[in-house]
Amino acid sequence: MNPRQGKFRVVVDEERCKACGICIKACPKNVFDQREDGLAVVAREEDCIGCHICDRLCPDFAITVVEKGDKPLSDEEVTKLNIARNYVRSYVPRFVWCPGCGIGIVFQGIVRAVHQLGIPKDKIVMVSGIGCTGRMPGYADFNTLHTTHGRALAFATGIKLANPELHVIVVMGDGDSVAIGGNHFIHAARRNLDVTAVVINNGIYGMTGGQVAPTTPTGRRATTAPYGNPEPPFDICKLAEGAGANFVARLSTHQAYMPIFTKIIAKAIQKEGFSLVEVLSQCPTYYGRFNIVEDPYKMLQWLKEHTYMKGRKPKHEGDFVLGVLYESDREGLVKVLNRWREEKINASAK
Amino acid sequence: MSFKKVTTGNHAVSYAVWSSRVQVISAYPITPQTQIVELLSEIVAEGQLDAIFINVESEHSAMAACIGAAATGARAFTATSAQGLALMHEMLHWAAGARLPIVLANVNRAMAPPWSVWTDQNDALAQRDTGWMQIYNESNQEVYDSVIIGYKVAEQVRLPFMTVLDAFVLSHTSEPVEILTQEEVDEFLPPREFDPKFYSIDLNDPRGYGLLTMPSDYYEFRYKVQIAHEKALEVYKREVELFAEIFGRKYGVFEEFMLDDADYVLVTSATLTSDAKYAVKKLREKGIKIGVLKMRLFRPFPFEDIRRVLGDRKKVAVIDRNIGFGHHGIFYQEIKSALYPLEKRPPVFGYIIGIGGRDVTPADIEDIVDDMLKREEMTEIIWKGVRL
Repeated sequence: MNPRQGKFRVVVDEERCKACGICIKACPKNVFDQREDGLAVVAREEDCIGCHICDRLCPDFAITVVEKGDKPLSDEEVTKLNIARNYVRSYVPRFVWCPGCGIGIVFQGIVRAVHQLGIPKDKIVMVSGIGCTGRMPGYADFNTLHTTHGRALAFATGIKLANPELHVIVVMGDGDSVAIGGNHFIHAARRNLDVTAVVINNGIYGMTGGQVAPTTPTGRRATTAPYGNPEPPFDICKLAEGAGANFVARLSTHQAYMPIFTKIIAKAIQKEGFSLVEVLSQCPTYYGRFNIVEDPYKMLQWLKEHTYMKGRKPKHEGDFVLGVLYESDREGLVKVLNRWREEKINASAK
Repeated sequence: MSFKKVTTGNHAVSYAVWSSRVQVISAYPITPQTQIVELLSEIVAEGQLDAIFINVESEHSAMAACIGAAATGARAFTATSAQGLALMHEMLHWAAGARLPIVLANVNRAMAPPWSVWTDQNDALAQRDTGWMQIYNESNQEVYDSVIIGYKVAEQVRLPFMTVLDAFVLSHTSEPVEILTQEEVDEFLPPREFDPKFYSIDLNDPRGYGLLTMPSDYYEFRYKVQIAHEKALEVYKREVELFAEIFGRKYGVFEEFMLDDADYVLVTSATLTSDAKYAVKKLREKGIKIGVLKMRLFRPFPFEDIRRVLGDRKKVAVIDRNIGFGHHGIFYQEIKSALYPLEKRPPVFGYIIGIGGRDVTPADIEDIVDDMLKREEMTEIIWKGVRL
């Protein structure tokens, strides 16, 4: 028997659970059962070893796993200890995302990274464009701004330069960041604007119903590419690197329970200049259903199978490399502008 | 033989584009329009329509691609909504200024912020002065027919044409629509043939387009756009008559409902007209002589017809699902301005209702009529149902 077994409390909040089944299938100790209506229920709490795969992979922040303390806790008390939940606005009963959507997983990664860094909520500004990812600022308990399609980085430029002391996190989908907002994306990178761009890439336009995107891999199907996409996709990380970003990393939602996931996001937030974290994410409803598999957990397995860490070898052609892919120490735009101003003022004073 | 199909407003547009033998379709997804181009992409992928379908990276590019295609003589189409239409704005001016007969379907959706996906007319009406013709639809059948009529008119006067339908109320609601066969449509709207006289990236006669013009010339370009609009009114009237002769559905520049003996007139547009018609029938039972004038063609604006139909009435109420901030409802402004040259004209009252897709019911229309009947003096603007 595992010595960690029996030391954890596991609670599923059935108000938030959307029955995606990820936790049930991902748990290595078979702690959960599936109710008739699909919701996950804790059936064998005593088997839990506290690996946190279930709560980190839960897109709806519905699961809380905590170590048992001296006194027994009620389910409500356990749920209150959920760190991620403390970053969700109290009036948000549940997220709008489809069951098993990867965006909630990335959202949790972001708030856990902020928590690790100990940055106060009021010092964070979260900016989004629109689409599925665009809903995140409606839920996050930071200063938030939900802007127009593709323009999140343009809005963020104004926010950061007017308030350099704030941490600006820009969350975008793939359509938002490199289709309609592609120009803003390359110029934010070129300027080395001091913001953290988190691009959630599911390879398709989700909110509008699964149309082909500039990130849809060649041959993959979408509602506007019924026989597959004839065009090649963007490599978002290479694009950012080529345009001048200081920090470029790629993650995948299947890694969300690994420490590296939050660690890389935290590093990106701390980094001076433009930092990009692209997170490969599952859209079970459209991309998955049209191309791979509709089951969210199987989509996570697919991501695991088709990605590899930097330094290792890919298993298949077209697999995605993960990890910190590029880093440089170019001066960020805020510093450049300050220095420039001072040098010019000093020069004219002389 | 034509056949009836139960279909949504969005798909009615797709079928009409298919029927019109469009050659280039270029689009970007946006709710609530996306279904239009989704179905078209299938129709093209299946080889049922011999067209090129271009998935672009923004609405701005979608219209730019249509402009490029139309400039070579191809029949081009795109569809959009709200923010997408606003992003196209620069290209809308270009399409009209370059005199290209593109047809665009705009699904009316309220502009952000705050975000909304529901219907109002500010997106389309904000494009009033771009030089596009505009038509507003009440039913899915009107939507279908308007695309075919749109190409027929646009290609004669060399102006782009926008057909406008309400988000969800039409776009996602199914109604029986008579779909014409290809032969029937071909009789009214023959397939597009390349005519180097008009359009005109022509390899045998290379020319430059869109170049810088001096003040000595630019003015006349704009004059000609206006003349084309004036001509478009005649062409539209002629074409809807021909359409009625062939297919039996009669469209005017506007629709008159129970207007013959009406003392009072409600001026409406788009789907809330159906509520107004229902309310008017009830009010008629109470002995109120009232009717509805449903605006269809908004650009070019049918000044003469408006004066003829509204000039002698006792009172007119214009119902706007839009607002020209700092002024009045936009249809209200236009109706008043049309009536101004008349020596004797009715008082006109302007009501704002249903902004951002708030439901409009026949009871709301009856309230408006009650209010209008009580009023004597014209007021600036009347908001119906504001909750503060």
